Amino acid sequence: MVRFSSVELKQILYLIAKDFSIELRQKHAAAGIVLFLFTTVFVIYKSFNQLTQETWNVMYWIIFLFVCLNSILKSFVQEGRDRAIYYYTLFDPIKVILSKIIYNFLFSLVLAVLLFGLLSFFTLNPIKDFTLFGSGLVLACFGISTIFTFVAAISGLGHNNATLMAVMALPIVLPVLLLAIKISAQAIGIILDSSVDVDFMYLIGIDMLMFGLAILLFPILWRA
Amino acid sequence: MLYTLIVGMGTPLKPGILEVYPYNAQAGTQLRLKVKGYNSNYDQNETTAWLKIDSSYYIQSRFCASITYDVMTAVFDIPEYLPSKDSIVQVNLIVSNDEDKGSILPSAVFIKQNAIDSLKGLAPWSRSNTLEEVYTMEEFRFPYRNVIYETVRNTFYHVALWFAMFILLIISLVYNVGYLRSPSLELDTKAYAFTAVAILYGILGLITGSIWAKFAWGAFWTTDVKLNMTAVAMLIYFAYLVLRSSIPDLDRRAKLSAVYSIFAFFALIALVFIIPRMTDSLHPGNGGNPAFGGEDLDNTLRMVFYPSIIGFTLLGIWIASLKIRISNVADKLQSQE
Repeated sequence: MVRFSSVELKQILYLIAKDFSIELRQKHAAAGIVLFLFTTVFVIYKSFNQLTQETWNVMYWIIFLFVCLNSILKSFVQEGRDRAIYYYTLFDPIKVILSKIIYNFLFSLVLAVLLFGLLSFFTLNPIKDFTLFGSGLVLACFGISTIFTFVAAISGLGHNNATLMAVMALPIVLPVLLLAIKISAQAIGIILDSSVDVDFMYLIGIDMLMFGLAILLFPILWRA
Repeated sequence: MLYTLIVGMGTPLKPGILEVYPYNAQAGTQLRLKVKGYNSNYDQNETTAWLKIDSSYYIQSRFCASITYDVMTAVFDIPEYLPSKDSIVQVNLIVSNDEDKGSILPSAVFIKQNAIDSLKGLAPWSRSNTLEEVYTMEEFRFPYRNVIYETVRNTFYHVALWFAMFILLIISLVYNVGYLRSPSLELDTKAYAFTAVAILYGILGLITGSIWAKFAWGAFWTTDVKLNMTAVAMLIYFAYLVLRSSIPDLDRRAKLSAVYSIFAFFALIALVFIIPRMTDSLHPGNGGNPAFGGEDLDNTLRMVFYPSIIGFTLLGIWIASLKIRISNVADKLQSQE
């Protein structure tokens, strides 16, 4: 792993701050995603008159998955080709992908908390073990944002549309999603499995694997 | 390939026992057991039958009378007491004669005993770990297994297709990594050809597995994890195909699809470890099913199974090399115009 000096660390922080300020400048995009969350939760709430704990769990993750897909998709598209070339001359590709992943990770965490608030406001809050749910959520957010960011990089550089990105990203994200659903089912108390720590180990392992691959492969993509 | 077809389809199964009637018996009475055999020759041979409890206690039949080649009646005098502490005991049936040799039906009969005295029960039952009278077969025949019967032959095609698919995917992974280290369109063509053949094998494997599942498990598609994992694998590689076809620029296409397929391959590996933790599988090696090896994959099956894997892999490599040559010729023709 590359060791970052304080200057390089500052560069990464700067890139994250840049993404954040872009997000703030395009208030309509962020507002759109929040509204998307709100609408989906409301539709779910009206469609199921009585949401059971099991459906809550699955619904939570499915909504989260698609909101993430929508918000992370634009990571590489929004800035355009010219600016990509400008970054290319300024920064190391590893820093670019790292800052993107960290930014998307933070953004998806905010979305996850927001979604949790909305869904439990309208329907129910089945979570009994918040530490378990929270730690599972953080790990899953990291995995999902890593994979989506990387696929967004591939499809962004190939000038592909949103459908193709969904098609490419969803099968890959499945292991993370399944583990996340299982861990949160455990936190709700639907299943009682003593080996939840093994699930955590697997989740951390997949996160590290995907993160490592993204860091390793992105410089090759970036040169294109 | 021809070898696996001829030997795989032509070799008969070893004789076995299909079913018996009645299933229940009372201790201390005489049991007339009607036995229906499979590939058996009861009418031409003196057949002996045994009832066996656990792996060590057995009684021999008083006599066996054949009705047709595959139906016979075996008569047992069941002692008053059984060598067991349970009131209902599962008993295995073993049948043997000179021509068919030994065959076994596990849990063939349930015997009920009214009074339990496992010490008294010991006396009339002989004790031995192996029945010397049961002959073992030396002919080249596939093993007979209950439930799957003749479909054991699917091992040669379905399972071999999976092995070959994974070998092909690994070959294409190697080409993809090679492409990223030193980009050349030749390597990309090779990686693409191997992936395409692996997808074809994946689909064939799903079809053969599906037909078999209908027979053995009762449905074309089940919630079985390996099935669904394969479905995900197919989705990933279909996405790979769509990605390739969506990019017109050759170098960019090669680079992006190589990166994606490496990424996807490792995600797939992760999936192989994750999904089995979610639910049980009906496949060998999961959920209490025996893994391959031991009794299931005996030497007769191995003699066809291993060549079949090699055969399918070589066939795949051959198809891929044809594909590579076709695309090379197409490139040449295009550049001449």
